[in-house]
Amino acid sequence: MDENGKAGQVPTRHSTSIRGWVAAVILLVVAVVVGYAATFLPYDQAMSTIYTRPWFAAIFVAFAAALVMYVATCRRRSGRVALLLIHVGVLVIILGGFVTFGFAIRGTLVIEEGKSADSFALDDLRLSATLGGEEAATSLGPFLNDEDESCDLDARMPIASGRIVVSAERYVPNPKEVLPRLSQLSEDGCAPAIELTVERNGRTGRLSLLADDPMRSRDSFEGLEFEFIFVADKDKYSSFLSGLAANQATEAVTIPRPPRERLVISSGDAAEQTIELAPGDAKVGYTARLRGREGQIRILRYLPDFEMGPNMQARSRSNEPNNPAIQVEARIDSITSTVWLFGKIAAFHKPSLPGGISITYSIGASDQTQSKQGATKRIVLLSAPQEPYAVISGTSLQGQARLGESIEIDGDSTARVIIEQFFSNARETFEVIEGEGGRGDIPKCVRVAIWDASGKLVQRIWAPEDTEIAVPTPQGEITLLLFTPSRPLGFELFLEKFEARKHPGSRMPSAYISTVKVTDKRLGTAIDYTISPNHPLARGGYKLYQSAFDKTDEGAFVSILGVSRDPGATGFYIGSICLILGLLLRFYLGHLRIVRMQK
Amino acid sequence: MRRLVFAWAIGLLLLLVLVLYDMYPSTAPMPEGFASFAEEVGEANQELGVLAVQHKGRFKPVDTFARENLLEVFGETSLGRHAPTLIVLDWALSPDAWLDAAIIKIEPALRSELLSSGESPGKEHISPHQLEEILSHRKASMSMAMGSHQGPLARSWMRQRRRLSTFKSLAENMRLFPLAGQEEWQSLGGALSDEHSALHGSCKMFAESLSARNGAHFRKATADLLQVVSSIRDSSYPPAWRLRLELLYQRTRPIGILTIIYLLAAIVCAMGHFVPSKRALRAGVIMLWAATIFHILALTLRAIFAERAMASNTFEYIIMTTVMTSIAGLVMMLRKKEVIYATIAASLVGIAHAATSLSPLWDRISPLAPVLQSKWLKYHVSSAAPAYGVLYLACGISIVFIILRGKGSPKLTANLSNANFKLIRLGFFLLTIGIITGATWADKAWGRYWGWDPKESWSLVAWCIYCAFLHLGFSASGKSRHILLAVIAIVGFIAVLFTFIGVNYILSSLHSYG
Repeated sequence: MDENGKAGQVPTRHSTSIRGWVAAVILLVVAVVVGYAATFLPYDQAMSTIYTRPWFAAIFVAFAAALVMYVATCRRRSGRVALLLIHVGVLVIILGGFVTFGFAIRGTLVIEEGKSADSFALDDLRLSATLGGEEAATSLGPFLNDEDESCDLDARMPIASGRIVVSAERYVPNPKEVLPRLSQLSEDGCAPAIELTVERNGRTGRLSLLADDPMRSRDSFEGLEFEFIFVADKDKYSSFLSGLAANQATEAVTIPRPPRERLVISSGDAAEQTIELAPGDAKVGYTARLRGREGQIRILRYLPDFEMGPNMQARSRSNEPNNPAIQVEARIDSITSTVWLFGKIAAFHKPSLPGGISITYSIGASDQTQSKQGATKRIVLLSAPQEPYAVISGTSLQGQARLGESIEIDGDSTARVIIEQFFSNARETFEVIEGEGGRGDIPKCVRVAIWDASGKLVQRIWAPEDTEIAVPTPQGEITLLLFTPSRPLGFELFLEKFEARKHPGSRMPSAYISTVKVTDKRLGTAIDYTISPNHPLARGGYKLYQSAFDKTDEGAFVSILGVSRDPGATGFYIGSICLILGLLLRFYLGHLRIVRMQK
Repeated sequence: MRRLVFAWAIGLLLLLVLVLYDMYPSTAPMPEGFASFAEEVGEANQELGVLAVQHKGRFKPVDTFARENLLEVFGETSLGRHAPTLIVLDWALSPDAWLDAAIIKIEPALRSELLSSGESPGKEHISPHQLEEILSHRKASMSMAMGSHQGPLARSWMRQRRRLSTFKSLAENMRLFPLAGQEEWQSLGGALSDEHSALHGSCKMFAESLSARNGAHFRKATADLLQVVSSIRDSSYPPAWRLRLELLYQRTRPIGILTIIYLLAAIVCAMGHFVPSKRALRAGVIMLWAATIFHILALTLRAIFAERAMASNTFEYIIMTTVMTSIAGLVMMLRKKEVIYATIAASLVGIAHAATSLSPLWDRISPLAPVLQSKWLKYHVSSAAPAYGVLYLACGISIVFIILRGKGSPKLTANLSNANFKLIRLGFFLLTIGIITGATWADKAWGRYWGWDPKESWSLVAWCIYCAFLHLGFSASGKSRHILLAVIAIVGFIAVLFTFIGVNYILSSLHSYG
C-alpha cells in the first residue's frame, strides 16, 4: 500500500517481499488444514486425526521457526519494536500452545454434597499389563473419557522385553452395546457367535454377531448386510452366516447339516439324559451335571481320529473326524472314573459307570436340509471337528476358508470377509456389564489383543474398566487392567452445598454454585469459596471450575468440577499482550516518538 | 458501468419489495364474531399487553409473549390487523373456537404430507383439528422418520408437533401471577383450574367474558384482572416503564423499519451514481445518517429494557455488527471524501438486514445462560462484533474494487484499495482482540483457552487469512497485488461469515450462541 509505506519505509523491498510471501503461505496452509478439520470432521475425529498429530504440530513448528528467523534477522530501522512485539507475541503464544499440549493436566472431580475429596480423576484412560512382575502402561488418550461413540484405537505396548505385545484395538464407552468377552463356554443352550473382518471399498470393519439374538445377530457394513443365524429344531441343527448385498435377487440355498454329536447318559432308575454337543464345540473342559444325581461328567480330551500309539498312548492320526473319541471323567457319588468313548461305534460301546449309569457318545449322519430363510442367499456354514472353518456359498460370497483366511466377495478383490473367531456357544459369555447411569459410573471397555514376538495373535479379550483380567500366554500369565488414573489435589475440598439458582418466578437456571471449604493441611489454613461458571477456584496450581451437576438416588446434589493445570496459559497471556501492544504500535501509534527513537 | 449501477439499484429495489411483502401480515379466517369483538375492545387489550408474564426465565410484557407464541404457532409475529395479545389470549382461553381455523403453519418439508390433493398448493396453514388428526394417523410414519437418526424430515415433524403443542399449552405457559412463597409464577390455566385460588374468580370472569365476545363485560373483567395483579405484585415484579418500553419496541419494530431505510438509502445512492445527481447522493447519505442514528437509538432502547447491552444470539450479533458496518462506512466517506463508501455500507447493511428479516431469525430476548454471565462476554462481543462489521465493509469494498478495476477512474480505485487496507487493518486488530478475549473467557469458564472447537478453529482460519493479507499488503509488490489483496479480503470475509453463521447452523459447536 503506497500510503502505508510511511508507517515503515522498507529498505530492501525484495527480501521483505519474499518474507511476506513465506508468511502468507504458512498462514494459508494453517487456515486450510484447520478449516478442513473444523468443517468436515466430527470433533473427536478431528482431534485424533489432525490436531494431535505430529504433522500438524510440524506446521506450527515451521510457523514458529519462521517467526524465530524473522525476529533474528529483523534489521528495520523504523517500526522495529512494534514488529518484534507482534512476532514475538505470536511466537510465545505458539510455544505456550506446545507447553499446553505437552504438559497441561485436565481432570474431573465429582463430589457429593457434604463429602470431601483430596484427589481427582484425570481425563485419561490407561491400560496396564503385568507379566512376571514387569509392568507396562499406555495412555489411550484423553478423548475417550466423555460419552463418546466407540472408536478404533492403535495403542501398542511391548512387555517382557518385547516378547509379548499388548495392543488396545477398540474402545467402547458403554459395553452394553457390544460383545465383550468371548472366551468361555456355557453348559446349556447353544448360542454360536462369530467375529468377522469385512473389507470393502477400501474400508475395513469388524463385526461381531451373536446368533439367536434379535439385536446382535445382524449388522451391516458398506452396503453388505450380514446375518448370523442359528436354527435348532429337534433334528435340525445348523448355524450360518449370510451376507446380503443390497439389490440382489433372493435365492434359496442348501445347507449341509453338520454331524450331530450327542452324549447319552442312561441309568436304571432315571430317564435317559441326552446332551447335544454343538459341532465345533471346544469339547475339552465341557462339563455336564447329572440330573437327579450327585455327580458330573467332564470331557478331558478329544481326538478326531483316535488310535493307540506305540507306547499305548492315545493319539490322533489326523485332523479329520474319522474316528472321533472323547475321554470322559465321571464323578458320581464321589467316585471318580475315567473312560474313552468312541463316536463311530456308539451302538457297541457303552461303558458302565458307578451307580448303574452308562454313557454313550454318538455322531449322527450328515444330511441335507433346506434353509428356512428364503431371503438369505449367501451363507457361511460353520462346522468344525476341531478348528472351525467356514463354507461360504451363494451368489455374492464365494469360497471356503478356515479361521483367519479371507474370502473374496463376488470375485472382487476389494471386498473380502475374514472370519476371525468362532464361538460355538457364547451366550453366557456375552457378558453385559450394566451401567449404573450417571456420568461417573459408565464402565468403559477396550478390546485388547495380545501378540507374541513372532506377530502371532495369542488372544483377543475385552477388558472392562477397573477389572483385573488374567490371560494365559505362552510366556506366562498377563494381568490386564483398564483404569482412570487419579491425582492428589494437594489440599482437601469439602462441598458444603450445591445450589442451582433460578431466574425469579421461573424454573430456568440462572446460576450453578458450589460452596466449598478448602483445607490445606500443610499450611493449616481453611478458606471458604464459591465456585460457579466463570468463577473458578485457583489453588495449588490447579483451577477448579463448575462444569456440571448431578443428583444421587437419595436426592443429594453432586457437583462435577473440571480440574485443570495449564502451564502454557501463561505463555498465551504474555504472547497476547505482546501481540496486542505490537499491533497497536504498528497500526495506530506509529507516529509516536517512542517508536522512532531507535534512529 | 452505469448499467451495472442501475442493475444494482433495481436488485435492491426488488429486495425491498420482497421484504415489504414478507412484512405484510398474513391473515387467517377468524372465528365468527372475533373481528368485531377485537375492534370493540381495542383499548382494553392495550392495557393487557403491558402485564408482565414470566416466560422462559424472563419477565416480558404479555404482548411480547403473544408475539413469540404467534411466531411459534402461526409463523409470524402478528395475525391480521388485530393485537397479538387478544388473539393469543383467545387461543389460550377459548381454543375450541379456533380448532377449525387454519392457524398452524405448515413446515415446508411436510407440505405434501399435510395437504390433501384437493387443497390449494399455496396454502401455508392448517387447522389444529386437521393437524391433530393427521398426527394421530401418521404416528407410524413419524416414528419411522424419527428413527432415522434425526433426519431433516424427523426434525420437521418435531417442529410441526411443537407448533400444535404450543397452541394447546398457551394457558399453562402464560405465567401471569406472582404468588407469595412460590418459586414459579401461577399460570392463567393454573388459576382457572384451581378453584381454591384467590385468582380463580377474576380469571374465570375474564375467560367467560372473552369467550362470550361481550365487549362491555370484557372491559370490566380486564380492569378487575389488572386490579388483582397490581394487588399481588411484589418487589420482583418488573417496573411498568420497562414493560412499556418493550411494548413500544415490539410495536414499532425498529429493526424492520431500519431494513427499509437502509435499502432505500442504498437505492437512492445507487441512483445518484447512475444519473449522476449530487442531490440524490446527498439524500442517500442523509438517509444513511438517519438510519445509523436510528439504529444506535434502537440498540440503546433494546439494551435498556433487555437489561443488557451485549449480544447473546445470532440476531443480536447481526444488529450489533451491521451498526458498525454503517458507522465505518460513514467514517470512510468523511475521511476519503467519496460517497461510494456510503453506498456500499448502505447496500451491505440493507442486504444483511433483509436476509435476517427473511430468515426465521427473530428479535428474541432471552436471559443469559449461566456460562454467558461474565464480564468477558462484554469484552469479547464488543471487539468481535465491530471486527465483523468492519471486515464486512472491507469485503464490499473489495468486490466494488474488482468490478471497477480498469474501468473507473484510477483515483477512485486507489482510494478504494487504500480504504480496504485501512479497514482490514482495523478489522484484523479487533478480530485479534476478539479471539484473545474469547480465549481468555474460555480459560475462565472451561479451564482451557483453546480447544479446537469449530468456532474457535474458524476464527483462527479467518485470522490467518487476514494476517496473510496484511503480510502481502505490507510487503508484496507488483501490479496484480491489489487484485490479489481484494480476493483475499473476500475469501477472508467468507471465513468470517462461516465462523459467524455457518458454525452455528451447519456444525455443532459449544458456541451455539452468537
